[in-house]
Amino acid sequence: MTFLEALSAGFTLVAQWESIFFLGLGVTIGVIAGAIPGMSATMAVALTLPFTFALQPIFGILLLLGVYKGGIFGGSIPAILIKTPGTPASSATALDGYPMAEQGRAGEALSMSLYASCIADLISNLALIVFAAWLASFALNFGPPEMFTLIVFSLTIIAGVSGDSLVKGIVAAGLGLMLATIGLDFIAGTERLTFGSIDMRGGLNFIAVLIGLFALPEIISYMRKSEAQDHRVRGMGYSRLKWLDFRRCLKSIFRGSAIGVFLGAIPGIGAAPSAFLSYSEARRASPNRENFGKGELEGVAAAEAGNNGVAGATLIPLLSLGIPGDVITAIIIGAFMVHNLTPGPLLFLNNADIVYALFIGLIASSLLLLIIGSIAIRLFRYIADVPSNLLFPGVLVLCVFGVYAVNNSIFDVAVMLVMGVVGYIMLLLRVPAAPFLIGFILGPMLENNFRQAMLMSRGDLSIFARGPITILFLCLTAFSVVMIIRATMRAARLKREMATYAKTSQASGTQD
Amino acid sequence: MLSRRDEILIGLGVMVLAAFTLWWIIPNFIATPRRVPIKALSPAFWPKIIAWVVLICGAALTLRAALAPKTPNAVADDLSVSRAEGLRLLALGAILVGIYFALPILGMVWVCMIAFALLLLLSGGGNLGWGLVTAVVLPLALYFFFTKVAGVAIPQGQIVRLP
Amino acid sequence: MKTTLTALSMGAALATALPALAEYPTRAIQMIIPFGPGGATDLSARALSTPLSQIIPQPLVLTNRAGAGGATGSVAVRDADGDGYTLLLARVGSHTVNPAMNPNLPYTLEEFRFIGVYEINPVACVVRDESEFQTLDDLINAVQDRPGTVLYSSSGVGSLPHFGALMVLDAYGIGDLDENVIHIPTEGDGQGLTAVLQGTADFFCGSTSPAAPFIASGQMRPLMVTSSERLEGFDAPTVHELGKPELAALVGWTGIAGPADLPDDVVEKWGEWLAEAVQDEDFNRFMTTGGSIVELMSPEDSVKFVNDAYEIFRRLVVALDLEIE
Repeated sequence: MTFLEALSAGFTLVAQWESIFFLGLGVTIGVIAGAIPGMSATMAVALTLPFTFALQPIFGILLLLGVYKGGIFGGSIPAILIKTPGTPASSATALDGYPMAEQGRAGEALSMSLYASCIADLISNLALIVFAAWLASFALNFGPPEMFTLIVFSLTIIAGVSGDSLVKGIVAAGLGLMLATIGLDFIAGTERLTFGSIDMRGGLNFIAVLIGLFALPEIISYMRKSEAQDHRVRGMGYSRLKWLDFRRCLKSIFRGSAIGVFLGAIPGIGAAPSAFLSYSEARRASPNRENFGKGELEGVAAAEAGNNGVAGATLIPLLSLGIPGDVITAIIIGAFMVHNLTPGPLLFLNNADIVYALFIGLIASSLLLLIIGSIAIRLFRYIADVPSNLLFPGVLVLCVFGVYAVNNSIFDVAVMLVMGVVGYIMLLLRVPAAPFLIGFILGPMLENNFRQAMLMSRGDLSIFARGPITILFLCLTAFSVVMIIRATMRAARLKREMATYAKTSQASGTQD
Repeated sequence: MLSRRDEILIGLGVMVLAAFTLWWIIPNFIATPRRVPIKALSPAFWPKIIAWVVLICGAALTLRAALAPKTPNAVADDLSVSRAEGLRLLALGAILVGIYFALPILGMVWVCMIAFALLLLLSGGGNLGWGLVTAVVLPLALYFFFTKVAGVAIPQGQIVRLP
Repeated sequence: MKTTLTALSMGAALATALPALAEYPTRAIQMIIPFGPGGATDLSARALSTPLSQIIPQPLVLTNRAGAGGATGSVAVRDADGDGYTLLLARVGSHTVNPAMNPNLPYTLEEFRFIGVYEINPVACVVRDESEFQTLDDLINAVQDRPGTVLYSSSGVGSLPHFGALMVLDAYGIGDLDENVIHIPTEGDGQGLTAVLQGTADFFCGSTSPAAPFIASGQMRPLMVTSSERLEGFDAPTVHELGKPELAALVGWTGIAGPADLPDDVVEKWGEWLAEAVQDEDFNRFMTTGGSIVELMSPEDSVKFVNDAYEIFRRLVVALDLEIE
């Protein structure tokens, strides 16, 4: 089959109304599932899988891809409205999205998140189509040493999400890294910090920690002083996104998409690090740096772009090598195999029509996401009109159900509740939660890749300088660290000057 | 911004936590196999590094707070909790603990209904009527969604089972 | 507590429709998969559930409870009521390799009642296409000539690929395995195979199903399969052809089990349902694509099969000092 024949065959496959129907159905299911905390995109895809067995291959795969795409965007809706990220990747969206919702700008934040998602999704899909072969061979060069240096570099994100105090940010990240070591040891298989509990052998559940850390502290602080701020209605987000605001975020969206494509093509990293990296890069480059974390539109745009930029790119290792980039694509591989399709290089030879149909379907999915997403936003934003004294108990109930549903474990509910108290104490002591989460996400990757590399080299550290990729990331890390130290010193000097100024003006203004 | 005294206490607290982890938790709760060919592969290797980093950061926090010019008290946030707030926090804590222990006995739906209603009363705001309706409808709706649509077996408890 | 529950549910049943004694199942049956979505166990379970749910009058709820190499989900089923409404998808990793290698495991085989093993999954040793190893002998020679330079990946400590590679090397008389080959654990079959594909590790000895697509596309080559006859799509000698029949015991399997106090009628019912489900065409096609052999065993045969496999593995673990401390 020539390229053009395959392309037209693919087009015929997608042009059937059923294709669009299943794709749209998938996106709808995904958006709804993503919007329910605990119902992650992964779970939605796993639940949809059995239904695709009976469908024609192309319909089944389009349905799953729709669920995947919709789920990744859907996660940002509760992250913005109730600070309960539906997926780990949307926790970066909550950093600025929730403050915006509190300021009555939920509508703006949701629209920005949708547009950023769709643009990043489209870019990611185009990258998949154009660069698949090239990026795939690049991704194969990422062995444990390369991964380790990449993760070390990613840890410099902490500086971007630490808020006022970098040291407190590092402490928080340290706590997150420490918590991530709970469970069975990766190499020796022995118990680490499980305190004899069987439930803790598998480690702490991600979603439980995430929701506990982000959503519960809000409930606790509301409950503590509820009478003082009674009947606070945030006034829903009928706020509209302005074209000028959108335009100034475009740069961050493109940057985030590129980061997403790059990280998505490397198997095993996932969307959360990409969202945080994109966020911290946007903050570094933005003239509104000070406003990040306090309700900055560009923060929402960057986080969502980084998050969705991964979606198309994770299909690169899947389609060209047959390697699943994350859990969701692992399930999608199952769907391919059910239909006797073998993901990998052969797919392009034997089933080129399916591959091109997939590509066209992916592009269509970005458009469908825009349409279905804007309907979903209209429906969901009424949540922000709910009075606080109904909203917060409702969020708690939702979190209990959602966290249980992830792994059917009451222990996870306990983890969430305990993490909620920890998160509230951190809030009181001005210890930022985002570095904690980054430490928790990156911790296992950091440690496992380090140890795999040490096994490969029998303890020789020079393996971390074995090629251009590792050296590049080591240099980037050194560069970032220098920049961070300089910026911190400058900020400290500024603060000191302001304090002296305040003191002198106070001394001159008052008697003592 | 917190007062200088609070910041110093936080720094010291972080140091105590790190030291406790380093010299009590790690030796006691991380099993190390007999043979570890390479030191960097020991299960305790990373936890130790992390604890040291946190310890050093704690020292830095303490030092920085101690050396910093005194923040005028008017600017610093107050960490103290008023009596009413303390009572409400205690009640909330009791509700959270109660949720966990009641789950296996009463089942998730009933526990969530009760928790919702208690939180509503605790918050002391209006909308009681709507609140009670939500307290009943929301957990039921979630129950039917998760069991019937998502296929998750929501814990039923031992007293009243739902279909 | 259990009696109250039975009394209550019987009361409820009596109150509603008065069926003589409501016949199992009267409500949804929860099937716990002790591994994550997308793994070999998960795919096998979901493929089986499609025909099963058409046969069983009540819904089947598949639940992933991953963690600790299958221990978390297994313990959840062991501790569940033995009423037939909570069952486990037991797998070679959680119910043969892990019990054999890990003396601290929080459960034993006796704490489960097997309903039936329905799938046998041979093991294949694979290398990437560009590998210098053309045959298993090349690999063995390399280990002997250059001890400590050959690496193998696995899906984790105490998993089938971890044990599989060691069992194969032992059969070829390689001693002091800790020193002679290097184990690179990963998280799951997918990652273990990726490590071989990108050159982090040299070989992988695990279930055929996750490796099948890589073999089909020519990215990897099989050196050996543990089935008794040559497998379709796997152009490699069997262990019998290689003269190592003892390696035929190295196979993966998937089966259904419940808590130890599972009543007889439940086991009987499930026997009928499974016998019908494994006839399903789509299910068979899916399983054989992955190199699996669909073979339903009776409860007694299943127990014997699992115990025999455990005994063989356990003897080897003790002899080679492979226990996880």
